Amino acid sequence: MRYILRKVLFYGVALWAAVTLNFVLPRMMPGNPAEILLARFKGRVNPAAIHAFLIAFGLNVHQTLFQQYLSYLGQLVRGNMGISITYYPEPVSQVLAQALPWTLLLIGAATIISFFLGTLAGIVSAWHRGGWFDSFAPGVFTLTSSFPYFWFALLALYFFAYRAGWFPLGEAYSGTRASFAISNWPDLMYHTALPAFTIVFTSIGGWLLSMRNNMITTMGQDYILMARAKGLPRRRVMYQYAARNAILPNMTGFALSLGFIVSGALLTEIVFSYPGLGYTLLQAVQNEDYPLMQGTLLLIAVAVLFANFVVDLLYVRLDPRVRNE
Amino acid sequence: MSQEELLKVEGLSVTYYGPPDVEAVHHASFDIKRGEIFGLAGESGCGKTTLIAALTRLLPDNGAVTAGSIAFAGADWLHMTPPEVDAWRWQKISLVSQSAMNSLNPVISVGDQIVDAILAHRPNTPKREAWERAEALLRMVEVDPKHVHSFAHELSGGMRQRVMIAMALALEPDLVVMDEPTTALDVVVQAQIIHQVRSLQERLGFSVIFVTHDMSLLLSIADRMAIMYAGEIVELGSRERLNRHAAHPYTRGLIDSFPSVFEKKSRVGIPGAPPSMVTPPPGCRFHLRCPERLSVCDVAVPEERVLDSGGHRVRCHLYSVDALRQGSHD
Ligand SMILES: Nc1ncnc2c1ncn2[C@@H]1O[C@H](COP(=O)(O)OP(=O)(O)O)[C@@H](O)[C@H]1O
Ligand SMILES: [Mg+2]
Repeated sequence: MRYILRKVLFYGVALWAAVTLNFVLPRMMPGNPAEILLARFKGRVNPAAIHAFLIAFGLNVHQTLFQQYLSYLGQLVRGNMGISITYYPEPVSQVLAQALPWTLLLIGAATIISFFLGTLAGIVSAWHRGGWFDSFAPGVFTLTSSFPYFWFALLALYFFAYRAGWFPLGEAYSGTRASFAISNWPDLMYHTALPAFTIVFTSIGGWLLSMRNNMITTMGQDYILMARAKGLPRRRVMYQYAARNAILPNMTGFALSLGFIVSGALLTEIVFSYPGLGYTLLQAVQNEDYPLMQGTLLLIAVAVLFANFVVDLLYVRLDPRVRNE
Repeated sequence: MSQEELLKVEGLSVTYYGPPDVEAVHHASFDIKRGEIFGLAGESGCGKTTLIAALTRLLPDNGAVTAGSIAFAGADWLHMTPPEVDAWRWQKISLVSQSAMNSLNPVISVGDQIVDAILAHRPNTPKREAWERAEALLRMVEVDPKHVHSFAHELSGGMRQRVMIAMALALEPDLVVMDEPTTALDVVVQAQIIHQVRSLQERLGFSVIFVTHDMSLLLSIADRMAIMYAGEIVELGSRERLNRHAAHPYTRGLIDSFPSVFEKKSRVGIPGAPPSMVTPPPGCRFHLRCPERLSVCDVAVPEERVLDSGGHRVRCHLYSVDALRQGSHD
């Protein structure tokens, strides 16, 4: 319990730091974001609207920095992150809310699949060290992991979607309206499969290799020898004694990659015109859409923290040693 | 000794394949009777753990028995198939390994690990009964039974060692092999555990092979013992014989060189270091460090001599017929 309390406190502070940084950074950049906004909107929107917008986003130039900070926090608590310039007049929160599910679906699924398959392959590879699987899998997947992603994704798109026509050329769904209704899932899967495959294919090697190494180290431990000596079924030794311990060092890496799900595999979303957060971030940067950029970056920071928190909680279940710390 | 023989090792040699190849055990022969504590002593690196690994059929992949036989409970132990060995091990022969400190899986509870052993061999045991048995086993080694739910890191070194002993006794084996079970512990705990082993052994009647490099410890608990040097058994005899008539200069050196758990002696020590096991010295393997070395020791491998009717035997030129006739060891 002490451990969990400490974690909650830690992540609370980290969250506050992320939120504050998100406020401070744009104000430290050369040029006032407010001026940039004003310049962009001049003549297109009436001054009163601009003024209201600036206040809404806490960019009121007549306030002290501290007052701005307070109203920024106040707005944030109410879920207000300003208005997107790119998608004007849509609020940033709404743009993000539309993009987030797609990223979670594609990158989330791909990351988790890659972690599980890679870990499993690492376990099997190490357990049957020198066997047929071990003699090709680590090599092959190290190779695929060293492919430049952009190049590989383009090739996959070209051959499997454009030439063979097995997959759509991009987008996340058919038609003009997105729907997460059950009946629409086959269509979603159809659109997700190829980009997800490119991610899994190029990231699985890392999980495989690190799990294999951890397993080999763990299998040299005395408790493995004892488990074998006791005559336990192989599977039990492999999973409950070896893999259970070998996976622990990988949990941190898994937490990080879960956090980065939200930042979206930027390249994936660009190559496959996939309407997720990575794609949104690109739009924001190209259009100097500061509110959207800030909102996206904040969401990424929060997601990284949240994923780490969840994995920390999971870790307590996996490793009894941290419970008594 | 007229007791029934439980284990008989004859001419056992074990090689680790390299490079370089190391013959870690060379022509070892001895037997273990039912209900006795058999000691195995020797400096670190002399092949004790290797011999134990061969006896428990737990040699690492690069190690193999190259000669000899092991008869265990009437069976040809070295020729049993791996599934047969898996079935017998722990039922009939169990192990408390050298690094018992690290022999517990850190992420599952002590009870789970004891229950694992029980269920692996007696799959029809109801779960509850297996857990009760685990608690009873802990009680037997004087660990609070509530520790079935503890994890390794929550136990002291001495407690972990007791847990390992409880685990080894889970299926009431005929033979428990203990490889330096107390080396990592402080002296007081060490004495308690030795005492524990002794009294359990008297109560339950299993045989023990007790491996240590502490000669005086062995002289206080073993019924019979073998002394190993550079992969060979150089002397074997009862405690009484070795206590009073240790024959091999190496044995005598060992007895003088180790401070005891029970009494503080000053270390005399054997000069020099153990020889390379890759290329053991010609002649008697101990001749380079022997205070009573004869000229024959440099070139001729000593035959084993039986010194009394109780099976006290030694591998040393001092006791060979020629040497006795020449009287040259005086
Ligand atoms: N797995 C192994 N591979 C190669 N050589 C080994 C291996 N294990 C032990 N040895 C060597 O075998 C010899 C005997 O080692 P060991 O049986 O552990 O001795 P002890 O238990 O008496 O200290 C040593 O020279 C050691 O270096
Ligand atoms: Mg050893």
